[in-house]
This record gives sequence, C-alpha cells and structure tokens, in this order.
Amino acid sequence: MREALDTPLRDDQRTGLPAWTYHSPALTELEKKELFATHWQIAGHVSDIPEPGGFLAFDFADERALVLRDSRGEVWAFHNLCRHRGARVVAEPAGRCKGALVCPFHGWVYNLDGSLRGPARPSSFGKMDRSRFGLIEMELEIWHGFLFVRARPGPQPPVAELFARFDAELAPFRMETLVPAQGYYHGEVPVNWKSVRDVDNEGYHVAMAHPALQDLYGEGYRDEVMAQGMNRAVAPYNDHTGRRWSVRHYRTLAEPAAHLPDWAQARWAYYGLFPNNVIGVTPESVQFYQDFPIDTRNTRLRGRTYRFPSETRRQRAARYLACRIDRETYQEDIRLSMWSDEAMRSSAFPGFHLSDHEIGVRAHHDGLREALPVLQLEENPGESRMVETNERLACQS
Amino acid sequence: MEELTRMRTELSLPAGLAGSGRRRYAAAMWFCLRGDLGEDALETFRALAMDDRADPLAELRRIGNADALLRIMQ
Repeated sequence: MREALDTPLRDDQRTGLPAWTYHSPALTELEKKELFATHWQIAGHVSDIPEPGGFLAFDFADERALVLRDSRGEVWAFHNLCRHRGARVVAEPAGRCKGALVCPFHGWVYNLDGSLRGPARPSSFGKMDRSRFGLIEMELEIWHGFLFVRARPGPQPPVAELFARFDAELAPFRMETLVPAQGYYHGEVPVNWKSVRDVDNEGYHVAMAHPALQDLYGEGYRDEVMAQGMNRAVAPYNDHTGRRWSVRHYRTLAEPAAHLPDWAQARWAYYGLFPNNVIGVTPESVQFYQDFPIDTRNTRLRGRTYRFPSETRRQRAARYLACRIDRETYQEDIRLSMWSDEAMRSSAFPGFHLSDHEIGVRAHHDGLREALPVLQLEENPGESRMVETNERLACQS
Repeated sequence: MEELTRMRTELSLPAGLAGSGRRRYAAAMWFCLRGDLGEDALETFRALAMDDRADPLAELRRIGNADALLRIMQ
C-alpha cells in the first residue's frame, strides 16, 4: 500500500513522469490493459436506470461495459459483448430494453439477468448448452448509489473500503437518493490522458487560470493525498460574496439545503479515486467525471451531474450557476492540458518541477509508477519491449 | 404461469410500438425453445424484428405458417 506523501516535497520528488510516457503508443496500450481494465471505474448512478430493463453502456480503454437493471430490480454489470461474434448487445449509451436484449448483429436473445434465452436459428448450433453462453459478468459494486465496475480483477480493494475514510463526511449528502440533473457529458480532447489528470490533480493553478473558481473558493482551497490512491480537494467559499457575475449570484441565490450540516453549506469538495475518477460535491449537486485514453494523443471525457430529489427554485438556479462556473473552468482546463501535452513533445522541455502545492500530481505519478513499473524509467525501453520490460521490473519490485 | 402470460403479452404487442419488433422476436424465441413455435416461424419474427410496424401474424398467415402462433395466442 502506498503511503501518503508528506509536504514539503523533497527536491528529488519534484519531477514528474518523463516526457516519453506521454507519447508512447506501446505504453498507452499497456495502460489500457494493466491500469484501466484492472481499476474501478464509475459507470453512473442507480438513478440512471430506475426501471427494469434500464441500461447504461460506456467504453473505457478497450473494454465495453453494460450496466443493466433486471425485471426483479437487481442491477448487473456485463461486458457489452454478444457471445456469438462479439457485437454490442446494446448500441446506445443509455436506454431501456423491455423484457430482453436482442443483439443487433444476428439476433441472439439474452434475458435481463444476462443469461442466453436463445441464439438466432437455434437448431444451427446443434446441441448447444445455452447456460455456457450468457453475457460475461463484469465486477460491480454500488457505493452510496454510485455504480462502479471493474473489467478484470486488480490491486484495489472494494470501493467501500477505499471510500470508507469519507463515509461520515459524505453521509449527509444522501447520495443514494440523487437523481440525474442532466444527461451524460461526453467529450474528447486531443491530448494524452495523463495531461488531463495532471491539470485536474492540483489546485496550484486556480488563482491564475480559473478566475471564477478563485473568486468562489480560491483562498481556502487545499489538496490532500491519501493512501491507496485516494485524494480529496476541499474548497470552502471565500469570505467575500464574489466579484464575478456568476459567482456573486451563485452565492446570493444559494440557500441552505435542509439535509446538510452547516460545514457542508458553503464549500465544494472533490474526491479522487485512482487513476482517473472524481466525485465532485457541492451543496446543490454531486457529479462524477473521468477520463480514458482513446489512444496516445486522444482522451475521452465522461461524466454526469446529479441533484438532490427535493430542490427549491433558488437551489435549482444556484445549481445552474454552479454549472456555468464549471463549464468555464472546463474550457480553461482543456487549454492548459493541451499546453502541457505539447510541452511533453518539445525537444526543449526538461519535465515538471513541482511545487509543494502540486502534491496531487506527484502522488498520481507515484501511483502510476507503482502500478506500471516501466514508468520508473527515464528513457523509453523500446516500443516493442514495453510489456516485457514492465513485467521484468514488476517481478524485481 | 406468470412468465407465460408475460411472454404472450410481449408476443402480441401491437405493431407500431417503438421497440416492439425486437420484443416480439425475443418472446417468440422463448416460445420456440419451449417447443411451442417452430423455428421457421421464429425466423419470420427475426426478419421483422427491426420493423416495429410489421405484423408477424399477418406475415405468417400470408406464408401459411400461422397455426402455432394462433395456438399460443388462444
């Protein structure tokens, strides 16, 4: 288990990952298989699929997840792969299939619990043991209403154990009662996925790059890193009510949420789950967001915002303004990610030199080095030797 | 019995309902694997699965293969 970093950082801890790790196709393939497929990913929330037959589907790295509620109300997770030829059994990112899943390729039919009802033209398969051809289950855990999936077993303990340190803090938010506030967010950014994380993992840049966030909470923002790849950023509101239009009106419109204690009424907080998931909490809403590599130079972003089931008009207006602040921040972060990613390709950039305030970046890189020891190397070991080198280093450690 | 009733309902969904073609086909699969519906009739349901407006009973009648479906519906 990785221990939390202490600050200040030692001088030898101020470097980031070497530049080659941001533009190596072989490493990206390794990350997909040995990092993203083996670590928990947020799929969504139980309220995304309230009815029997409700489903959500998303791709991460080279995996395809399908989360489905069956006719008895039980939630399942499967690989979105027909057992016949591997087609997607659902083609849409979300929806409801009443009664059964019908593969759009040849028409194999699956029950909502994943078992195979029957293949198209059943007699053409001889004496088929249908019980062997159900959808392949994916590991699923539900924590405070959020759905987590994992494509393959990995080093992380159960989600409930990872988040246990935040249980008491998050209990007042009654996250299991949340309902969707808007549709899923999907985006693509032309950068390596780590460049997105590097920006999101520290608040040192807030004062300079995010005027709205600085106006809202910049004075008290702090990042904390913890064992097992967990982290938290806590951002109590500034004492003044805001100079910018959206912040000022957000602060003015916001009214206490009856279910929240005083300390939770005036702060935003972000809870990070290694390597790429964040749950963001405000007095009006809870959101998740995550980033996945498409390839070495492109990253898929995904997320959704949820609201509390009872919401006054003022709280709804405040949530709208919080969303507006977030949208502005998102655009600013994209630009920073692109600049950082470009620097990793430059012949002149010697690499990061991290502040004590960027402990989140350092902790994330340490976690990556631990998960994939090949990242400890200053030079690319060779594209064709990436897997072998990583395995050798893993054995040594 | 409850499952049988549910499958009958699915099999007889009215033409035009969104997604009904696939639901009728999925129910036809259930009856086929019980031995209540022939594979040829199932194939008719499959061929119409992506056309929610199609009426499998009318098609089966047209090709003279509606007896099993009519027995199920009774």
